[in-house]
Amino acid sequence: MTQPELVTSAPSPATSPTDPGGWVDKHGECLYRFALLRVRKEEVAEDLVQETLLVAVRTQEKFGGRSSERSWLVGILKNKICDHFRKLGRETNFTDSEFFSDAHLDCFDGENHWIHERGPSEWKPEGEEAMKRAEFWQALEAGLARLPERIAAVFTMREIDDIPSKEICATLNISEANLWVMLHRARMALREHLETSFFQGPGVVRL
Amino acid sequence: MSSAPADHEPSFWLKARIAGVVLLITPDCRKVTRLTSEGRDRELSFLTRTQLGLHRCFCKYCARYAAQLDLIRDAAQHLPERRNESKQPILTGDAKRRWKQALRERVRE
Repeated sequence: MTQPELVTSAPSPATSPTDPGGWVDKHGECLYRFALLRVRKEEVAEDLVQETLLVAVRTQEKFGGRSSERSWLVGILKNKICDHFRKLGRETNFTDSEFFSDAHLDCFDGENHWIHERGPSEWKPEGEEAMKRAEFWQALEAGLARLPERIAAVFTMREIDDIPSKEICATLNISEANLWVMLHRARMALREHLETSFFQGPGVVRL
Repeated sequence: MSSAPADHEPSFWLKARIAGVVLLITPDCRKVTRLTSEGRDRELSFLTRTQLGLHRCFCKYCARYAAQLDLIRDAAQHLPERRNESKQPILTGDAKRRWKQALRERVRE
């Protein structure tokens, strides 16, 4: 006569696969924020998360609990976001001519050296300190919001998600030269925006 | 070349002349800012990196530019966590309901 033994099974996924509705409550907010940061538009972010959840429901068996449920969902979402960025290129002229105008490149003189008044000023407070200020982040967000969609996408992929150049080019179907130009313009614009909006308050002496 | 007055620091004039030469033989600032950006996305040749480093020794604007790009990247890396600091949910109840509905429909198929 043997006692039935308690069988310790392998840990199962946190949410039962038969309750995808639970995913919405557990991960919906996080997925939405992830998407919104990158695509910037609420409707788009909502659609992408919905698509992600629908794909996840279909492919649950493949999940197998290898990673956490959330990172699995985020992985699907990342692909959806890349698909979205790729489509941007087909539908819009990504060489946003206004943004690419040389207006903000008139910081160099005839010999292509910085004009003193337009050269980067010394940024005070210094990096660590600046990042403690809410106004700094407001300025950064505002600067990002001003970037054209494609440029912002590329900047996000490279500087926030740290995706290698070659991979971005493959994903978006653009040349490396195109990518470098876009990133250069994005950085230049952001730098200038941060300087005028945050670091150069009224009455700051140019050093 | 004018000789420096004996009672002045000769190093200032020397530095000014060196600066002049360096800025002549290294790429111009427009190019340096572009290469500074590119250097973050691809590998630059040793020669190019040396030229950039040399240029920045004598051009405070290009030096600042490079440092400021570093800060921008640093800040960008912190942006997601910064955004997530606000504990207020930004997702609407409507959206959640839509998703649950769509999921129910999909499961039924």
